[in-house]
Amino acid sequence: MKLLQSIIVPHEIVNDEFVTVIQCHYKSGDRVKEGDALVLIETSKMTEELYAGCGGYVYYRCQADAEIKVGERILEIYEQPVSSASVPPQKIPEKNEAPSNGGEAVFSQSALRLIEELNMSKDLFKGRDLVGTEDVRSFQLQPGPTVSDQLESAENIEFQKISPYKKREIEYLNDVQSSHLSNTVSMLVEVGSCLAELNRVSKFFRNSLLLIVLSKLPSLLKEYPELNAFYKAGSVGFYENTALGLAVNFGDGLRVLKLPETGEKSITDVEVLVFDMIKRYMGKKLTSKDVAGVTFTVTDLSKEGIHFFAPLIPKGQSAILGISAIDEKLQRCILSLSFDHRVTDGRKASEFLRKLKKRIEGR
Amino acid sequence: MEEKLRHIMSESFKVSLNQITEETKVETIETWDSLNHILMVLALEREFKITFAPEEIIGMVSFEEVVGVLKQKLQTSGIR
Repeated sequence: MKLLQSIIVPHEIVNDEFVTVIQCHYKSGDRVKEGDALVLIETSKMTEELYAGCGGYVYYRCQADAEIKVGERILEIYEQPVSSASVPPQKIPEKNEAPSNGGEAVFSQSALRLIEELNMSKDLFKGRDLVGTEDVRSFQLQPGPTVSDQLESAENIEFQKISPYKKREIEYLNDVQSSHLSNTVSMLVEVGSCLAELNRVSKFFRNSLLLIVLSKLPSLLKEYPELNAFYKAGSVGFYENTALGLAVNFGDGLRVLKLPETGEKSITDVEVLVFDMIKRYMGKKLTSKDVAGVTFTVTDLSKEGIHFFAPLIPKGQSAILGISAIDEKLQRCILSLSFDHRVTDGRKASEFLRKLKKRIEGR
Repeated sequence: MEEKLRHIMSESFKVSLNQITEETKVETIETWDSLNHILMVLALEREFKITFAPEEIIGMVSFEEVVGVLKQKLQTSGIR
């Protein structure tokens, strides 16, 4: 049984730790040709087909809806058909699944005796790995049902599993926020001097600072490398280049589209770039290169009438800029910058916003 | 062609057909925003089997302008 190719979930397409298998296009044991699309996977940013690099017999080590860790083997291609015993199906564990023993806890003898004495149910320890007497005693001391227990047992609540895509989104946004060291600063921008001109130039992004912000950011980020960076395991990684991302949500979840270089470009040129990217996204023409490698994200909720919000910092970045709605009466708008305090601080973030404000106001 | 266009614009901007006239401009339809504009562009590309350049896309700011760009594209591609 000659193994011709192993396909793993490639690191280069995602920042995520896990991807979701949407569809296996063949059955294990089917014959495939070089270039055949074998499996469709979904990351937090996009869907991606993985193709056969050679012809042969495909054997999947996953199934639809499974979550696969990036770097793990997803399928193999053999020269000849092989027996299923030779290629044992690999069980891909759910991320939060209890390990090893099929979800059943292992009890010490003394813990079992104590459980019996206290007339407790072993089911109370489901999902735990090892249970000792200390675990049993601490459980006994716990006060009545928790809020979580009450919610789970409530009869008038319908639970729906979140989609695999939403799971990716949570993972994408949880990375920095879970440090509890992110913060947001905001600043009022007077738009009276620039709004009329912006609305004259762009008919489709009326009453929004998005295009002017995108045109001003690249040069400003060069002055603030800590905002074009990310924190990882006690170190800060600084990106050499700036790649702006535009967060969009067209009803199918959050996506961050990587924009081509927008610095030193006119508002019209930036509008062309933004439209081109959105059109390719909506026409499902984006490739992994179009979404990977964003170093700083901008999110624009001005159409939603939001006057202020604190955007969540994406994984692999140290800051994100939020654009709120323009108050047409007062001719002003709030820009908010969420930043990772492990990488920078409030003073730097405020200074960055103040400079951006001046550049937008033309001062 | 213009009748097809009216239908596509009406569906893309989620307005009634009689709101789409020769006088329709981006300023006169509140829902003619960037997202719905792209929906219209993609629908036109599918319907007429053409592809708009990004510069053409941002220039189509009224019914009249869309008709102009469409006619030019269709002539170039030999479709009438």
